[in-house]
Amino acid sequence: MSRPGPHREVLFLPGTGDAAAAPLNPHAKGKALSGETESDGSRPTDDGEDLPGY
Amino acid sequence: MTRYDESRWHEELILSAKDKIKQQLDQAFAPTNAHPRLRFIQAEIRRLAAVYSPLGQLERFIYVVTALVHHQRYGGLKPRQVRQLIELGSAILQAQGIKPRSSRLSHLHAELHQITSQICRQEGSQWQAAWEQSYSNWLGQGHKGPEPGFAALGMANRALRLGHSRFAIAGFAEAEQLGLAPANFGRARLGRIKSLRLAGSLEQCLALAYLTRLDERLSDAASRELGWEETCANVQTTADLAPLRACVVRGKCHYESTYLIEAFLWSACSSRTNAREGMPKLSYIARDPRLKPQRLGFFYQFALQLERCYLTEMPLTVRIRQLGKLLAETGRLVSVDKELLAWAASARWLARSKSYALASLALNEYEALSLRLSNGTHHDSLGLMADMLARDWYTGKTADFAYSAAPATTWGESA
Repeated sequence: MSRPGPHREVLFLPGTGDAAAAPLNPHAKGKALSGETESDGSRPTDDGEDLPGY
Repeated sequence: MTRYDESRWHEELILSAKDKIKQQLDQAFAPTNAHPRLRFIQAEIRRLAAVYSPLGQLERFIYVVTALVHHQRYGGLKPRQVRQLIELGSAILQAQGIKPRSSRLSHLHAELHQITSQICRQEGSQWQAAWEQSYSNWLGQGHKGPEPGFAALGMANRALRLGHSRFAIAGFAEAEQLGLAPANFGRARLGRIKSLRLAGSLEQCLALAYLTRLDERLSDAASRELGWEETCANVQTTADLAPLRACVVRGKCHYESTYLIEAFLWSACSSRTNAREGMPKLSYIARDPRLKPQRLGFFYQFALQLERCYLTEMPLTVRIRQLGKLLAETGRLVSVDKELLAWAASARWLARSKSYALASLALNEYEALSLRLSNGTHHDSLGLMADMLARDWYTGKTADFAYSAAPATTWGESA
């Protein structure tokens, strides 16, 4: 597979291979377990905003 | 069932596709089923790579944003995967001819950067989060979407995290005025109340809190948070921590790990050495399966380290070094008031351990953040550190000055 060139977005056009092709890391933990973030989502002022429609 | 023109992307088709995908995911996966849900989303992104129709690519784009939203809420992606998904989303929009700013659908570019901003915030890159949010608003060209105040709410949250309380107060008010869903309304109102409190406008803060109590749109969680904000504002006024401690006793509505830890940090800021009496130890809280403070990640790690600092079993040098490592990462705290608490509580302990140069460093961060939050009017946002700010080793008024810089008496004078 060629290295990403200056027109990098072309690499991710439909059918050309992309992030989704990478398998989910079975060892990756959720944010609450990873210790990398603070919020447990239990406080309205800590858990950001809900993107409408998603 | 309404059928839309599927030969090109347009607002109705986008809303319909989003709704269909969200319903499909919610029906198939319970919220606790986070990893299977993410695996399914990734499989759909792979499958749709071979579907070249406009609708197929629209669904693929929506799955890309959905994967990022899922990651922001539950985690599961590596940094490389996050980066590649953002690039993929952008590439799909470009391939469909949707240009940033100039296209009527440019708000899709904005959505991609809004979720990027939220992910940056979670990862502790607070400046990057604010930049991405602002860039997203610029790209969206004022497109209001289904929730007109959403962009203003996001920007106000980012501004508050950086300590820009003036922008935050105006932004939260604007978001409410433009219109928000009930959950986001609660966030905007609480954000404004918190901004006023940290800016030192305590009367306005309590007046707005009183008005908010009468609003029926608040959820139970938001009402609980409102009660906490009122208590914190009263503590800032009186410097009396008793009401805060009373909130977190077993059986009260704030008997939750997040409030218990915050109350611990408040008490660690106090000049009274017995301020923590009667409060459960964090190591005790950690063993309670109902509280599970470990879920709070860095906030819990920091508080636990501070508690360990007060235990003399470990050498002082080790305790100081461990605290320093965590202080270097205060950006990982998702709210600015927690960062204030972290600096203040650390400065208090360092001063108690007679490490005055280190205490000055932490206290200066606290004072600088207080000044930033209050637009230069308050040196002590939490109202508990006045005694320390007046100490000779901090002010530099005597030979005890601990900081290796020019004496404080010359600061602020014109050159």
